[in-house]
Amino acid sequence: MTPDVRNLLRHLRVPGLAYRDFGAAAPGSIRRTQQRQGLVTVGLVSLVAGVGRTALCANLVRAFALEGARAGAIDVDPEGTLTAMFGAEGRDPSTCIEHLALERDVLLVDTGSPPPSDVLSEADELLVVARPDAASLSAVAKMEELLVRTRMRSWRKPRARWLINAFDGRRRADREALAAMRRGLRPRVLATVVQEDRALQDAFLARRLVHDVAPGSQAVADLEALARELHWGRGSERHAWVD
Amino acid sequence: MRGSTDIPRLLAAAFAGLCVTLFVVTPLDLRTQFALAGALIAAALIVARSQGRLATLVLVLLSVATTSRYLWWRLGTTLASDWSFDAVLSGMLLAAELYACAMLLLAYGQSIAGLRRRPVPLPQDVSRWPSVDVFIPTYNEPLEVVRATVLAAASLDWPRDRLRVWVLDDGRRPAFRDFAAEAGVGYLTRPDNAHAKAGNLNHALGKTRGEYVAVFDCDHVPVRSFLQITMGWLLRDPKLAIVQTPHHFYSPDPFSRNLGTAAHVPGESELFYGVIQPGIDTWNASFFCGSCAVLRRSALADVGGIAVETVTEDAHTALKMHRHGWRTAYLDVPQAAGLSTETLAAHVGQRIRWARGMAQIFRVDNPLLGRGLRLSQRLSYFAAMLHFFSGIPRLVFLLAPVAYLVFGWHIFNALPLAAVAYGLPHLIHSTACNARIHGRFRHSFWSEVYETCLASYTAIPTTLALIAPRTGRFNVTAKGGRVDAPYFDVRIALPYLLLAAVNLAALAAGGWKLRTGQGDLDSLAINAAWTLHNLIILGAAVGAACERPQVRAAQRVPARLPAMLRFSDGTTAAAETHDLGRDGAGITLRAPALLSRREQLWVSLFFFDEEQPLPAEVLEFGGRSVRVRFTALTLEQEAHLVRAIFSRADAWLGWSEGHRRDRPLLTLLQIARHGIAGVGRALALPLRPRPRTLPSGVPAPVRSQA
Repeated sequence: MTPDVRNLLRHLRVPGLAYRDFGAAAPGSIRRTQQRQGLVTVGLVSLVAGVGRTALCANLVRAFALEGARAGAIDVDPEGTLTAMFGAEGRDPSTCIEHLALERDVLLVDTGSPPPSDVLSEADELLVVARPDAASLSAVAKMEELLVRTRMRSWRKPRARWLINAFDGRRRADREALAAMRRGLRPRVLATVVQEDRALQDAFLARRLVHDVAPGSQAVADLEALARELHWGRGSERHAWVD
Repeated sequence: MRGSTDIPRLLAAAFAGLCVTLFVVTPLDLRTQFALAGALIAAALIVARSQGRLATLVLVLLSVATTSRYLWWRLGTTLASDWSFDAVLSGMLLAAELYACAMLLLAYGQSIAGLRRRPVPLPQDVSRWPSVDVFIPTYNEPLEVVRATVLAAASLDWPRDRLRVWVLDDGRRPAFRDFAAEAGVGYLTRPDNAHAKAGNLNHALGKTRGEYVAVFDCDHVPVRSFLQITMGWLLRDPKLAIVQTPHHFYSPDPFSRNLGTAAHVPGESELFYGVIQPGIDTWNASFFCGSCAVLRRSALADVGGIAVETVTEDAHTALKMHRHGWRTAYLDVPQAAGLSTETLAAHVGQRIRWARGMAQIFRVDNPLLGRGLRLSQRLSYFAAMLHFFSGIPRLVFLLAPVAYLVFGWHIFNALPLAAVAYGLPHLIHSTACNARIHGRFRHSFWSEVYETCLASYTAIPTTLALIAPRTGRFNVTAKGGRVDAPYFDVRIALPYLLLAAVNLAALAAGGWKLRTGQGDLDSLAINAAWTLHNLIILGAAVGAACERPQVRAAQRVPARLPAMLRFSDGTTAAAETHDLGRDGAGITLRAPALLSRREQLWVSLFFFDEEQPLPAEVLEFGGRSVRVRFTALTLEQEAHLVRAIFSRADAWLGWSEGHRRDRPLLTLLQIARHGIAGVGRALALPLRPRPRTLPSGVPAPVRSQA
């Protein structure tokens, strides 16, 4: 339900008055679905390389921190870009989880492509990062199949949700790809869409966080919304940065 | 069960009636009457401290009792005994007073127990939702105005296979046909323009077959939840013919704009939609207002379609439905918004049409007579119509003090002090009571300003319509225009100026009488006070005729939506809109950014999970705030923008929250201040009469019907 309808219904206070909203349903929070107390591991995965996993991972740590969640990142990507550019908590999930269980609320796992099967089966949450382009779109079916397969073998049954990164609404192809994904994968596409933002790439190349380089940019707002959506499940109020 | 509760109730009512009657008819000497008046006002003040419904009822009872006592005294002791010229004038004043008192009592009946309906949920099963045709009648309005309505209507949240939007173009304009095709909505025309809007709607009724019909004037843009909020009642009650929602105006009406009161004084239409419609809904007498309503097709078929006999087809249609046993509902949730009339002259023209139409209905289908109505419905309709006959009484009140001050005629045969002792409590109680009942929707004395602006224009058409009801012409209210530079509309204000001159002369004559010792002091004081009151009201009327520039043809609406600016170098800025209009937006950035004037950028508005960046250029900026103008939008982008501005379900909630509380004396002072400022402006501004003549009461554009 979008905020405008929620406002209206709140104003009217009519018991039983429902509303048919044909938009995407707001996904639940990771808190609500987590299977165990304490640390939640979130794997950032994708079949296609170059969709922006590592940059997202580095900046999301800060975004989670701003939301009041203690977050850390580990790097299981064989190329080790995250470790090289920003440093990570470590490269081995099992030891990191053991060490950090009491000190962190969220542990982001940056992976390479193709995603390692242990992350796919052992993480609490999977964030499938995709760009709204032909390469990602054509890999959707394959990724879904991979997810289903690992899910069958996994006892943790991680929930996989799709995150659209580097979206530019001016391009009709982007809008159509997003709509297609929302249609096909609903409600597993996150309400937050990360806009294409030059500042994100510039910051990454300068080994800095976008929060420090361009604090007023949409990238910061989107990361904040993403952290909030993942952390609290408040997806549809994604950009409400003014109270 | 019913009988057992009715008997005590009847007894109580009879007893109360007896008490009130005794109170009304008991004669008292002047001193005791003064004491009584003081005691009652003190009692009212004490009761008024409590906020409950019961306290309001007590206050209304006190007001009715004092007014009745005043009338009893007035009719019993102040009438002239001979047939002189004075007596004729005195009779006119008495008639005007009787009219005012009747309106007061009827208005209490209308507003004392407002039915605050709330929406009813629709069935869970969407397949049971009925089919709806949305009619958007238009005649000569610019396409610019109609576009938003059509695009928003096409975005109504309703099953796509059961929603058809129709543009009913009486202008038969190719541009409209093309636009309708492009927007994917239906387009209907007819060979002639018989019966104006009513005929247009009837023609469309013949060409469509949805179970329900929603009607929007072409400038009333619905929010997307309109149908889901309104349809529940129609599905629950099979005898319900109409669900009407308020006409919300997102541009200030001419009074608010020209007097500068938009921020803290309720608009002119708020009394009707905030108090009267819910009030008469209690009596199953709320009526169709021509727009922002859903009608049941079978009910329309039952009464032969939209009524064509009068120029206010909406109210007349509802009246016919009531006569046929249908029910109507008023749902006080603003689910559409439109533009106010642009100028005072246009407002006057619109009201002349309403007044004439109501007078016509009064003649051709009088609600007091005929079959099928309950007494409460008859009185509700009667009140709604009587309201439009206020022209002559208002003129009488505006001129009455002249009789004594200038000519020395006694048109009020009583001791001045007695008039105060009986009349003043009546005025105080009724003013205070009205301020309590509908102070949130209409501040005290503003009704007088509104009536004064109309009085000289409606007096003749209503009288004519009573005599010859068939001679109506339908005039389209001009909207979406703009006033480029401030000017004083001297043509529309001429009657106000004349009345003000007469009242000023009366005041001067009174002063002269006082100096030369003619006339008695009490009478002079009362009449001078009355004249001053008239002058205050007339001053505000003159001020309302000082047209202020309407800065934007496309009005901006305050709206806080998350937004993004995307610059040409690929960087972005997170932002939030401050206001939105079809031409541009005011935007607050999250952090200050470096911009340049006329910089081209893209604005994304985030709502309903849609995104459609809009090309724009920077108009001005400073710190975190930016003003942009949209450039060359495609239809897809325009539809997106229209949805952002107008389709949000909560767009018009809480709109009136900034209004000041009504405190009658303060309000009068404020009207006086606005009046003085208005007269000052009138003197300073260039004169500009309307381009077309107004005596026929029809501002351009004109639509004449056989």
